[in-house]
Amino acid sequence: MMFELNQEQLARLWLQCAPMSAWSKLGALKKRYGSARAVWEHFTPEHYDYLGPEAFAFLADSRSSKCSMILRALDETGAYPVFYGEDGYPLLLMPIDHPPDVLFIRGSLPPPGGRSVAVVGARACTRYGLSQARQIARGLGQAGVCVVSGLARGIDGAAHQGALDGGGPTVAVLGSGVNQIYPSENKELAERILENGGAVVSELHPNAPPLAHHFPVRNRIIAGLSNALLLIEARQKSGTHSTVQYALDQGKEVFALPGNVDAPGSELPLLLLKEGANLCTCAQDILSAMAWEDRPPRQESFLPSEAEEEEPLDPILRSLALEEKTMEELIRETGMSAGELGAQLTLLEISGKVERRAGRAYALVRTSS
Amino acid sequence: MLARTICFALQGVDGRPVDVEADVQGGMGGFYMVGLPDTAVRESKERVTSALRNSGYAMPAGRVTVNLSPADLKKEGAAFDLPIAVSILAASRQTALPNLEKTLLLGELSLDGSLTPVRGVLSMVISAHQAGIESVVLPWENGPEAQTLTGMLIYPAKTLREVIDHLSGKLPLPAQIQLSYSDCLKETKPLMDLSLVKGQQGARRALEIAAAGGHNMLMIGVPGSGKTMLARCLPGILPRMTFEEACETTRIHSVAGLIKPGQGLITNRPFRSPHHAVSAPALIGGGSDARPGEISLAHNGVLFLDELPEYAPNVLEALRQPLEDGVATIARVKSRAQYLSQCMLVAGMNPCPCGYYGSRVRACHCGEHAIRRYLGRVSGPLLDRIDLQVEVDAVPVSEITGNTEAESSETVRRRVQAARERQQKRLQGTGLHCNAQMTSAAIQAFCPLSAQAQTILTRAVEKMGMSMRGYTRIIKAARTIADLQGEKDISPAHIAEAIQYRALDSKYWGT
Repeated sequence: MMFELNQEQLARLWLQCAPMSAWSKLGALKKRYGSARAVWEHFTPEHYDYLGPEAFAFLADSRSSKCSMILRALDETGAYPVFYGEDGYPLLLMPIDHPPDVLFIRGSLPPPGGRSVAVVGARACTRYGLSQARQIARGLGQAGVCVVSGLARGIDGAAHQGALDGGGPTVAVLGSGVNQIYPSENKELAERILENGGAVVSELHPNAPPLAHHFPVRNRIIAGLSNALLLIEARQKSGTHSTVQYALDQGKEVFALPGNVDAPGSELPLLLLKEGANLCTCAQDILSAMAWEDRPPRQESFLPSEAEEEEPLDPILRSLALEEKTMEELIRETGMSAGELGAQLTLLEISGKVERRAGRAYALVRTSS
Repeated sequence: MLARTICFALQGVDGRPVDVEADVQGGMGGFYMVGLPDTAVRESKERVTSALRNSGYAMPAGRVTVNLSPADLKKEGAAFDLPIAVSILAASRQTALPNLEKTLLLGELSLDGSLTPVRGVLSMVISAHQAGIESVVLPWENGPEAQTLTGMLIYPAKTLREVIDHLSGKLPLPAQIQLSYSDCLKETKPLMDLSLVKGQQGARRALEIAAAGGHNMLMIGVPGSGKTMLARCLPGILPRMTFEEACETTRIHSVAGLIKPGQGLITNRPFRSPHHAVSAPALIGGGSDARPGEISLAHNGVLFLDELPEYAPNVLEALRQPLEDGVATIARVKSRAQYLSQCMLVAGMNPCPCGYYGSRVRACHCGEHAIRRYLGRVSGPLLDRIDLQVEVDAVPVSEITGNTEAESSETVRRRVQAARERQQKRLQGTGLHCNAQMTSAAIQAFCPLSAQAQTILTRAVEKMGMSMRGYTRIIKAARTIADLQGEKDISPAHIAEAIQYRALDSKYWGT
C-alpha cells in the first residue's frame, strides 16, 4: 500500500464511501459524536432505522472488515485518499460550501497555488463548440494553466484533449468512482491524462457506478478546483448550469463563449454574457482577464501583420476572407471549374491555410491563438 | 405413333435443350406426363387439351404419354405448352408436320388456342442458335426480344392454328424482319438528363469521374440535396452498351420476367434502386428456382442504394462478393445458377441520423456519439470498395428557379466515352476494362506518380488524418481524372482533386 492511515483517517474514509443518499445523516452523526472515529466506535445495530438498509449494510460490512474492500480497490489502480485540512488536500477546495471530507485521487493534482480553469459544456454539442473547446483548452495548456472538467462526452472530452494537445496539466472529476471510468469510450483519454501528469479524482467509493444523482453533486468540485470557469455550450436547463451556479456561489470568475443566437447550445452562454459574464473568444482572453500573463502580449497576435493586411491574391482565400463557403458558392464566386477548385482546395488544406468542414464547406484557418 | 419436338428449359440465363416426345397409343384414354415437370408444366395438360379442341383439332381418344427429356432436368414455366400440343397433333397424325426437329417451339397456350408470352425467350433462342437450330416459332409479343439475332428465321405467331398451318406448309408465316443493333440504339434515351440537375457542380464532376472510371460512389448529403436525382442521371452518361452487353442484360431481365410484352432488346443501361428493407436473396438472387437478384438486374448498369446505413448489415455484407467478382452465384439444393453482376454501386446517405449535420438551413440535433454510431453502420470492408465518397450540398432556391443551362447527358457521355477508350487501350491484354478494376499490380504499372504528386499524397494522409485504406483509391481516381483530361501522366493537380473525394476518410468528419 502506498499510504498509511491512522484510526481517524480510516473512519473518515469509511464514512466517505457510504452511498451518497446517507451523507447528510452521517454528517449529523459525526457532529453528535464529535469525530469520525467516535462514530466508528459507537456504531451499533440501532443505527439501522436511522440510516436505512443500504447505508447500514455497507457501513456494518466495511466496519467489520476494517475497510479492506475499499483499500484493496484503491490499491488496484494506485489511487490514494487526501483528507480535508491535511497535507495534499487541494487548497482551492477548502473554502467552498460542503467540501468533500475525503477525495480520491489517481495521478497527481497540480501543485497548490497553481492556475486552473474549469472548461465545461453539454454532452450534445455542435462541431463549433467542440473545436472551440479544444482550441481554447490548448491555449490554456500552452500557458501552463490546468484545465478541469468532467470527462463526459462532448465538450468535456474536447477540453481534456485540448489541454493534452497544449501540453498542460488537466484534471478530470468523475461522477463515479475513480476505478470506474465513464463513459467507456473515454477510457483511453483518461489513461492519457494520467500519463501526462494529470489527475482523475472523485469523492465517491472507488467502485461506485455512475448514477445520475452523483453528477450535480460532483459539479461543485469541478467549480471548486478552479480559479475560473469557462462555459462553452449548454442549454439553460442542464447539468452544466449547476456547475456555473456553483462557480458563481464560490465567487469564481465566469467566462462564456459566444455562439450563434439561434443555436440551442448558445442559450446559457448568451444568458450569462447578458448578465455580465466575461466574453471569451480565445485562451488569451482568460489569461489577460485573470492577470496571468507572464510575458507581455505578443503584438502580432492582436494587430494584423503587414502580409495579412494586403488583399490575398488567391481568389479562393479572398472569397473565404469573411466566412466559410460551400463548394458550390466557391465555384460561383471564383468562376473555377469543380475539378480545378477541388485540386486547389486540397493544396490549401495541406498547407494549413484552409480547413474543410461538414457539408463540403471550407473556411480559413485562424492563426491568432 | 411417336412424334418429337424441340424446346429449351432455362437454367440460370442459359437454355438447355429439351426433347418433347409424345406417344399416342390405343386403349384406355389418359394423359400422362413424365420427365420432372413442375406444377406449371404439369398443368399444361389441361391447357393443351382445351387449346387443341378450341382450335378445331381433337384430343386423341387413346392413351397419350408426353416425355420431357433429359428426364433429370427440372422443367419449369409454361413455354412447353406449344411443343407439347404440336407433338401430340403430330403423333396422332391429324396433320402431317415435316421438319419438326429443326424448329424451336416456344409459347404458353391459352384455352382458346392463342399464344401468350413467356420469360427467358432471348436466352433460349441464343442457346438454340448455338445448338444449330435454324428456325423458331414463338409468341407474337416475344418477337421483338429476338429481333436483333442474325442467322435464324424467327416466326412470331398469334395462335396455335397459325403455328400448325405454318409447320404443315399450308399457310407459311412471314419471317420477322431482323433489326441491326444500331437501329435499336436509336431508341436509347437517358433515364434522366443531366441538364435537369441545377447547380451541383461539385457532385456533377464526381459523377462524371465515377462514370469515366467505373468507380463505385457514395453520396453524402442532407435530405433533398438531390442524391437520387444525380444517381438516376448516371446510366445516361455511361458509354452506350455494346451488343454483347445489351444481350447479357436483356437475358437476365428476360429470365426474371421483367421484359414487357412487345419490348425488344434493352439498350438503356439499367438503373435498379431496391428499397432499404430488401432481403439478401432479393438483392443477390435466390428462391428455390435461383432467380436473379437486384444486383444482377443492374448488370452493366447502376445499382443505387439510398439510405445506405438503413440496410440490414447482413444484406450489405452479402453484397461484397458479387460486387468484387462481377458474378452472383446462387446455389440451391435443386438448382444452381450464376448471374453476371458487373454493375456500378452508387449509394446515398444522410450525414447523421437527423440528416442535417453540416447543413446551413437547419440545425442538426445529433450528438457527436450518435453521428459516429450512424456512420459506423456502414462497414469498413464495404467502404473499401467505394472509390469516391462525395458530399452533396443542398441547392439554394435561387439556383433551382434560375434559367442557367447545364450540360446535357450527351455532352458528358462523349467525354466519358473518350476516357473509357483511353483506359481500354492502356489496359489491353490485362483482362481489365476500367480504372476501378485495377489491382495493386496494375496500379504500379500504369499509375507512376511524380515526386511532387507523391509528396502531396503523403502529406494529405498525414495532415488530413486520411486512412491508408484510401491511398490506392485516390490513385485510381486520379488516374481517371487524368484520362478525362486526356493526359498521359498523373499530375499533382489530379492527385489533389482526387483527395477531395474521400469525405469519410478525413478526420474532420464527426469529430
